[in-house]
Amino acid sequence: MAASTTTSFNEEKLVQAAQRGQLPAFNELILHYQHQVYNLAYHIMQDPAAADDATQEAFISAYHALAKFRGGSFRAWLLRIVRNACYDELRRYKRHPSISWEDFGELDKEANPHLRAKGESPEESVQRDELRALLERTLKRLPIEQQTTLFLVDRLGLAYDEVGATMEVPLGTVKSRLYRARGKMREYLMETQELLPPRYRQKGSQ
Amino acid sequence: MENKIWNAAELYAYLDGELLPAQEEALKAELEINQSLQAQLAQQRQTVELLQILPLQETPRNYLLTPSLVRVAEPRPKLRRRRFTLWGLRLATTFSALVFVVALGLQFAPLDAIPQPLAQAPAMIEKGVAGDMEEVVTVEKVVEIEKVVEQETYTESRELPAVEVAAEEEPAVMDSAPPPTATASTKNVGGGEDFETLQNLEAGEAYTAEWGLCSTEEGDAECGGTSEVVEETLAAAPSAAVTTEPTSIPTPDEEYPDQVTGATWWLVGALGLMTLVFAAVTWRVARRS
Repeated sequence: MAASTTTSFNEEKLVQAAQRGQLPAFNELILHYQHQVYNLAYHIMQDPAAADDATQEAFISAYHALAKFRGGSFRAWLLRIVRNACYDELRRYKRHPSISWEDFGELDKEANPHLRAKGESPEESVQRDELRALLERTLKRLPIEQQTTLFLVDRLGLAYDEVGATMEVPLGTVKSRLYRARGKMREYLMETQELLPPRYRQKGSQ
Repeated sequence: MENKIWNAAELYAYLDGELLPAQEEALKAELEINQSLQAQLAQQRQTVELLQILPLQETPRNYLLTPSLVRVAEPRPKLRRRRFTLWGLRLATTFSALVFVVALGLQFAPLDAIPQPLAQAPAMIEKGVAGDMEEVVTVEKVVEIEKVVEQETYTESRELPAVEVAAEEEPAVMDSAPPPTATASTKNVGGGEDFETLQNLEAGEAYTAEWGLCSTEEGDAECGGTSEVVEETLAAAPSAAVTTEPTSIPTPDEEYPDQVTGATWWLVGALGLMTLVFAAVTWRVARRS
């Protein structure tokens, strides 16, 4: 599980300074959380440009709404803002559909050097992309709330209570969603286990 | 000892480090002796690892905020608020100006056309309006009296002394005449009310005095002598009544001069000043936005 906290990073002090209007303090918080914020936006939007816009908008909104932050997990608060921004954008997109980003196919991924891990061979990169595609396809078969819960816990490494704060649901709901999502994911992945890396190919099913 | 049956959700919670310390200890103890539970946990761990195997997307850029970025987003609500303020000020200025113009117009309008305040109504009825009504009644009655006197003059006394003689005697008669009474007047004129009405007229003093002499029952000649004077006086009485009208009826100008020139002018001045202040503030806010 991914852990995001560092000892040198004093979140509380930075938040207080940002609340007093110190933009550099808020920028430090951005540097610390932008990776997770962008990835959640990307997970929801499924489009790099849209995720980029949503991330920028979310940070600006968060800066203006800092006075409303009353403590608790700053990360959960930030992720809630970006999640809501993405849902708003998706609703707007449904009302006014434009050109689908999927029409561009793999062009963006090929053009974006960030999407290829440093020191990775082309073969490994292809395998990784295939696995990513498989996981994303499988993930898309889940209801959106289960998808997001799974992503927040397994990909971003949020604690259950943080997920509850981000999704604005009780702890019990987080647990049940996570349990169902993981069970379904395993079931779906086992259907196409030949595509999985050898060590994940199961001798028996669950 | 009874073994607890661990469900999948609890096993996932254990993998995520979300179990309570006591539960965690109990599960660890159970895992040491329970092979099937170990297998189930291994499968679940594999699923979670598979989901975590892929690295996250790299961010395409940094999202650091600059003062300009923050400022661009800020003015929206401010602009909207200022626009509302500006429209409110414009409305207030227009309304204030309208009220000022109406108030000013009322100041210069004829006072008869202005309805007096209710508080002044009783006073007006007593002093002004009632006065008007009384005068109209008085004139009508004087005309009636005149007719009666004319009839008496022509029918009863043809041998009356000359008007000049009666006129010469008139001052003495007036000087010695006692104050007239209602009963006395009714004998000659035919109505106490008529006498009382005439008594109010300044020009009718001599006339009433003569009627007082007639009531003394001294004879037809004496009464007839004075009747000529009465006739003349009566002829003059209505006109006197009419001519005295302007002085006897208090006009609004005379009766309420302080109210018109005092408080109302202050009010108009205040309204004008308020309009100017509103206009200045509106102009300033409009220039800013």
